[in-house]
Amino acid sequence: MENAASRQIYKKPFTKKIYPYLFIAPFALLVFVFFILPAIATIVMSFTDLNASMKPKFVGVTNFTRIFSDYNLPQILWNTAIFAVLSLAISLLFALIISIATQYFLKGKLSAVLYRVLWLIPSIIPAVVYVTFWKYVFDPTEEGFLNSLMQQFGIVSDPVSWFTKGAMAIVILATIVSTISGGMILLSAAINSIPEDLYKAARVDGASEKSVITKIIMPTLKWPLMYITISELIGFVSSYFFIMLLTGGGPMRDTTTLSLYAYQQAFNLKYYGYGAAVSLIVVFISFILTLFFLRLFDFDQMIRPSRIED
Amino acid sequence: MITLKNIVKEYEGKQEGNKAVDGLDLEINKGEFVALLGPSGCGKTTTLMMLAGLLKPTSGEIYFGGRLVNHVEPKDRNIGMVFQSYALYPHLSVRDNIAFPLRERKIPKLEAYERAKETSKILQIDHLLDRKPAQLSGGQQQRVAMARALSKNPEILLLDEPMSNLDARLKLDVRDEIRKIQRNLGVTTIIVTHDQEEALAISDRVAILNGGKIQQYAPPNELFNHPVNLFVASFLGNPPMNLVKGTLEEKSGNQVVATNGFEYVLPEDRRLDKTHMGKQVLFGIRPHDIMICDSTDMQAIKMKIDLVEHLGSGKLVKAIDPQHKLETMIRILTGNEIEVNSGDNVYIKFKERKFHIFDMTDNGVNLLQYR
Amino acid sequence: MSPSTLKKTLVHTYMTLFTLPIIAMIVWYFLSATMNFTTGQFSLDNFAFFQEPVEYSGVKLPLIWPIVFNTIIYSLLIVAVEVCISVPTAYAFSRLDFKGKRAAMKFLFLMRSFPGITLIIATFFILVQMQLVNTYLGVLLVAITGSLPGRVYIMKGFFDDVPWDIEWAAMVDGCTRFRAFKKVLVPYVLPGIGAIAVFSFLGAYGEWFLFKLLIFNDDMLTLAGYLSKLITKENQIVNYGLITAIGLFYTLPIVVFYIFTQKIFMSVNLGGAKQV
Repeated sequence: MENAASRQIYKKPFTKKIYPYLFIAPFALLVFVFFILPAIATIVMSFTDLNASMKPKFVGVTNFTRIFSDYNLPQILWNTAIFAVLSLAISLLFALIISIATQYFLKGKLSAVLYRVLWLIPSIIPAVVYVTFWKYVFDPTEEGFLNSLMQQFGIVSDPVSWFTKGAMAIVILATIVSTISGGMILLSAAINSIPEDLYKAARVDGASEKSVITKIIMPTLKWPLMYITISELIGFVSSYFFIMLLTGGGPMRDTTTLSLYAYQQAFNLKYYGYGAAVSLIVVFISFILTLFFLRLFDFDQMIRPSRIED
Repeated sequence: MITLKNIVKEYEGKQEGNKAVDGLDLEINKGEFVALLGPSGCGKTTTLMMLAGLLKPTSGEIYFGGRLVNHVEPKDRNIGMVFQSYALYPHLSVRDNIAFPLRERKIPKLEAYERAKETSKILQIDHLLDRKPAQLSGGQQQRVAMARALSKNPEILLLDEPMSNLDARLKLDVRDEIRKIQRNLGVTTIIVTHDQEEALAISDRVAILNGGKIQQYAPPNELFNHPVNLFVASFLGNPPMNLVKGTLEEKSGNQVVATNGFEYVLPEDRRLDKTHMGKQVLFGIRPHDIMICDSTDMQAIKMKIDLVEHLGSGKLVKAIDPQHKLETMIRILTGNEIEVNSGDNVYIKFKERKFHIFDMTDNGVNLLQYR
Repeated sequence: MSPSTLKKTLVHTYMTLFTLPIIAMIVWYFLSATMNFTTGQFSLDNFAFFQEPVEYSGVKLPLIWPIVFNTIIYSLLIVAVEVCISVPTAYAFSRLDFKGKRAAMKFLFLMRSFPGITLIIATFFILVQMQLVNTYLGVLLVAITGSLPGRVYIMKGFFDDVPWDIEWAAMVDGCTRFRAFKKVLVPYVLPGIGAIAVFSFLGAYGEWFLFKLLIFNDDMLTLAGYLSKLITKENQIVNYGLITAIGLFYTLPIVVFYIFTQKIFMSVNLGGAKQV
């Protein structure tokens, strides 16, 4: 046996150091080209007057000063706020009602499963098909569901142009019906995790249904509610797919939100630079919301060291 | 032969100086069965993982038969390993599980299956070869894990708490069987366990670890009868050794351990060096080395019985000092024939030369270790 | 009536009321697709798109079968690419050590919740520069970059759940880490791979926005993009019969697919979330 070997500290050989990076390389490359690069490009573009002529010039903060003097802006900001806050509040409320009804009042009943499956359907049906139903219900011609119904009952004689009267309400309605299920699943899972003994104890103590809900169920839902609030808010502020499919932002700018406005400026009017500047505001809001969202997670728990040392 | 020399293991991210293994030296002879025993967090599993090559020592050297293996990959160490959870591959049949190490050595399928079958016969699981692990009982899974570890004829077999998921009765059978197979194959085996009975029963030598250091490395009976220090003495044995605080004193030509309750005169052949006089010590005696006796016996101590527990094979008597000077309770193991009831006053005496004296000024070193 | 039956009736009444629009929606899809509203008779006229190219209000769209073919190819391609990229990435995040893992993990997490759609204008120009506009590759790359963080995150949860014992056993049994990944870990996380494959498929099948934005040839569309062309035309008169017929044709496979795969959705947890 050789005693000569000196006290050596173990060092990983180079090939083993590089090895993990090979696993994440394709992903990292994609993220770089289609996420980091666009993020930088958005910032750069927002300082140019890039448009259909494709000859961008650096224009400084002109785009941003233009945003704040844009006469559409007050209405668009208002639309965004109304759309996000109302969609969130109503969908949260309904998610709460449905999950309490199915997981507490009708717990374990077949009807509960049926209700939940039915509520899941709007979120499974592809968006393009889903919106046709709402288009049909609020169709401004006599063919539309509401119009034909109201004519049959003699409430109105001429078809009502629903989309000119309450486009925002329709957009919100369609949005919430399809987003309720997401919150419902999380809340149901949380209610489901409440041990049956707790209800039994409450019943023995003679607690009313109201106090069971406020004292036992609601405290359990604190975390899921926060989670849903922030993640849905991020979605409502940044995505405009339902609006685009239902109204295209119209009539006039009645249902144009900030993110849709950015899209239209860029792709309909070809004011790419200005569109980028507007979208940068959306990016900023989304980023702040995302940071809030990240705070809901315990990060250290997610990162675990390898338990094999190569 | 396996040699570990001054092995240190620090985990990254842990506090500086927080070493899982701290300067460990160990020699294991070829064909020997060695147990690493200790409380949780003592570094026994970390040591085993370093032997397997799954963890790398921060410093120190590991030799397998003279070959330095610190940086040798686990797959090139020719070891077999059984895990606490058995770690069977759930997607493979028992046959494929046992043949897996062979197939990884590029042994042709038919030959690998043939050898898997042979190994499974040794462990009497050849009728289960077509099942999936999920369809097996815990005991059967354990056998499959053993078969998988042995199928490649490893030089070294590592067992990580292999029996802790078995029920008590099955454990005894499996223990004997593992020992028998190990003898027959002559494979050097290292078992990690927190179960002292298991460690003492199965192995040729036991290394007791605490705080990342080996406390004592010796055959089972030596550990039990000649513990080097307080940790080994109090860790081994069930019910545990009685430990009474006292001082070493010289009285009228005799050396005595003076406690609050009694003074014990050391026999002539157990006399200690004069330099130890005046030291704070713990006087230790195992429950089965205490007898209930008459008041006239030499060095008899008066005690009051607090509680009697029937263990089936005997009685565990818990006695207290009637004058309440002695803070500790004394546990005594007696035969069933002795009639004692709680509340009785009795006299006890210690079997000669069965006591230990631990030096509290020197980390509990046993002053009488080799006597 | 006893108070408890009253309560139950009340709950059922409300729930039925809430659910009525959805039932109405489902009923309407079938009726609208299979009924001639002027005669009130059952008819399969709306399903003529099986045989001839769609044409109405001046919009001409190609025959549906090549579109179906595109949809299948595109969806399967997305599934394959997303699985092939997210599985190794998730494995590295879950079970390997590398410098910058913590930062990369944080970034991944940020990306998962950050809406990539807000960067679409710049993404478009990068695609123009790379000459990937009006190609499947362009759509595919943008689509998978958007969905990968979520897939990686879910997949990482599955890898986190693999006991280390299993990988240790594989290493001792003669595997390198890569071989242990291939022979033992990947089979172990197969349910997770199934889950992300289902998610990928559903995502790809429903993708219409990127096709609207990046694909200019109608014969390159997938079903979702095809349908979006039918309903986002400026005119107010919508041919519901046609749209619902194609919509049904498009949705039914998904619903069937969902029924068979819905268990997988339940096996995915949020992971790492601070509960309550």
